[in-house]
Amino acid sequence: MKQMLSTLVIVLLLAGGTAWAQQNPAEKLMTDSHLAYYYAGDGGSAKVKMVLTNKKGKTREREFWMLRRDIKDLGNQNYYTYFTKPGDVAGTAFLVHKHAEGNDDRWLYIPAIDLVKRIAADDRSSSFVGSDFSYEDVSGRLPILDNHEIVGADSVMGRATIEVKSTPKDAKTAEWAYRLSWIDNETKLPLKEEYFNKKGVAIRRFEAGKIETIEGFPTAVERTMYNLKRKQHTTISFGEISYKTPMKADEFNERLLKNPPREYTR
Amino acid sequence: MRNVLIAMMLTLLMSATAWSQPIIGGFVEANQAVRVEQNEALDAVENSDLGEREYPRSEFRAQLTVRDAADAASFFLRVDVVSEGTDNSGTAIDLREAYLKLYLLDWLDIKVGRQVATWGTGDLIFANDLFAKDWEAFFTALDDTYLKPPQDLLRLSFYLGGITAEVATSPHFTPDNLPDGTRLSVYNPFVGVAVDVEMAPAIDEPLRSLRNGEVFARTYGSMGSAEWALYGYKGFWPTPQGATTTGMLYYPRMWSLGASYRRPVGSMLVHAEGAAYISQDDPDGDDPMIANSQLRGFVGTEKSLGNDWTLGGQYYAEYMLDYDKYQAGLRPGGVEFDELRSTVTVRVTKFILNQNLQFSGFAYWGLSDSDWHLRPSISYKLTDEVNWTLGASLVGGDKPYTMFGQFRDNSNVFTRVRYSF
Repeated sequence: MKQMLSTLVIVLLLAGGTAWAQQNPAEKLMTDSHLAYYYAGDGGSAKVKMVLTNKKGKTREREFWMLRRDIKDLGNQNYYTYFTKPGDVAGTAFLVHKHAEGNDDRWLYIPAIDLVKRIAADDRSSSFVGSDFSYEDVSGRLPILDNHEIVGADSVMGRATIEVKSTPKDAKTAEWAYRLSWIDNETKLPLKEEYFNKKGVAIRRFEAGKIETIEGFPTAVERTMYNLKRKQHTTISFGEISYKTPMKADEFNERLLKNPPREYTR
Repeated sequence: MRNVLIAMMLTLLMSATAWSQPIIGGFVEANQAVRVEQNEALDAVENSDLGEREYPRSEFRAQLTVRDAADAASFFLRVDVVSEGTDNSGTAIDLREAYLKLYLLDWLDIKVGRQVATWGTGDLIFANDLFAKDWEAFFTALDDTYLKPPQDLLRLSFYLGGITAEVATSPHFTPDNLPDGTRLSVYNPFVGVAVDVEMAPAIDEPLRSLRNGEVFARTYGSMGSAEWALYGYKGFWPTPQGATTTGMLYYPRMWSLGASYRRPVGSMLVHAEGAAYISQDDPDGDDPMIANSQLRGFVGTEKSLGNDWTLGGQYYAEYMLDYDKYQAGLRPGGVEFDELRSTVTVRVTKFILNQNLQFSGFAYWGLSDSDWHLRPSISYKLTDEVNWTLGASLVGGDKPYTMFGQFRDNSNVFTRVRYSF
């Protein structure tokens, strides 16, 4: 027994220390899932179509190009968004320097006045361009902010998944009390998520509609977020996806805001 | 030299055969502003157009934008066609932007032609942004973006590692567009009261010659999340700050240097900016007919309160140099400004209904001049294409010659319906 224990200690030390040792299987799974969903490749680009459907079935549409460049896995990322629709926002560009720790830096470029407007840091749970997706849904919530436990196995979209319950370590960092995620065994992508309030009532539901493998990276090319309280939902579809990173991290700046790359102005 | 440039540009345009399909956009809108208070200056004139008296703005406006891009160049055109309802001037065409951007080198962008330019850190206040402003549009129902009229500029941006240096030059001076007594009454300093267009003071504009051009410069960079910038300008006072003995106003020469800084502090965004305006034709401040040199600056903050609420505030001050000489040159009983004049601004914004309905308020309060300006508005996106705005431009002040006091009795409410495509 004593020998077994010391062997175990040696194995743990060899394996790289306490971080690995403390990461339980649920944490490991959620970290892998976060990397697969938010940090695939070193960055990439996609043309995004967003459809907002309200309770009466009335729809609003937005179209934009989105560029991403990772500075470090599970760390800082730069995002650039160039709107092509609707007409009143066409040409508007949005730049985010996402900081894994602390507030993000954000800028908006309004071409009609050639204005680069810096935007005050916002609550990450606030809506992204009026949709049911929050900023956090778009740019990711780090798994270390939550405690995770595996609660079962399930099948979603005909695929084998592991069901994980996540609870915020600090309740103030989220508008939900806990979240259930169904993580695809094969791709590690979240196929479904449900967000619950303190009373245990589901308030939001996420569904990955369609998974495709692009340049070797499994990608959720269609994603829907349901706001169950307001009975409305938003679907985003990704087209022209590329994981070849066109921009260097330090090129996500005012020059890019004012000069959209030619291929994205279509 | 000029021919060489033109030849270069033509060669470039022709070699860049890969122009894509042009992208077309724009809007049509109706703007209607109605006075909410009596204006004696405009009413006094018997022949004044009744329409203008009641409606500072009543127009249909259509805007067309065309953009296209090739490998190393892009082109942008923005044209407004305006049909004014209150007079017989018919339909006017306003070429707001027509520029070419050239990306010839990794470290240089060139933007040439008619364009709008903005820089600095202020929210509807300015120190180093000496590009022209359209105050008439600002006080009469047009969208906030019309505060910036276009200018003919050659703008060069040099990207030098983490630092960017920009120079913009104009072959001629573009002054601010001030109310001239048609849509709004205007203060006439020679008679000391607000007047209409027929009584408005004559303003002498500098000749359109290269000698009367303008140069704008900026260098900027960042340190982490903080942004800094240095600015320079050489040209003219943007408003007619000089008077002749023959009773005309004119734009004296000035140059300026300044700096700005902006960074987040916790969840707040703070900015600070300052500039020295040097009155070139009156450097010592002893000519009472020309504005003295000034220091201008402001500090401000903005914070998101969550739930789609945003709150902002700024403190702005102007400090007149050589104040003793200014006082010595005053006429007895004439207009006298304070040495230090300050203004506070507040902005509140709230979105509801998936950000389709916006409530917005912006207020200026002149602490030294006892004048004020309120800009409340409600804007609703009925569909992705149709936006309806109801707003007001309310102004007042104790004295008829201050920044906002000069437009008192010109308060109006307005409505705007815009269809974008």
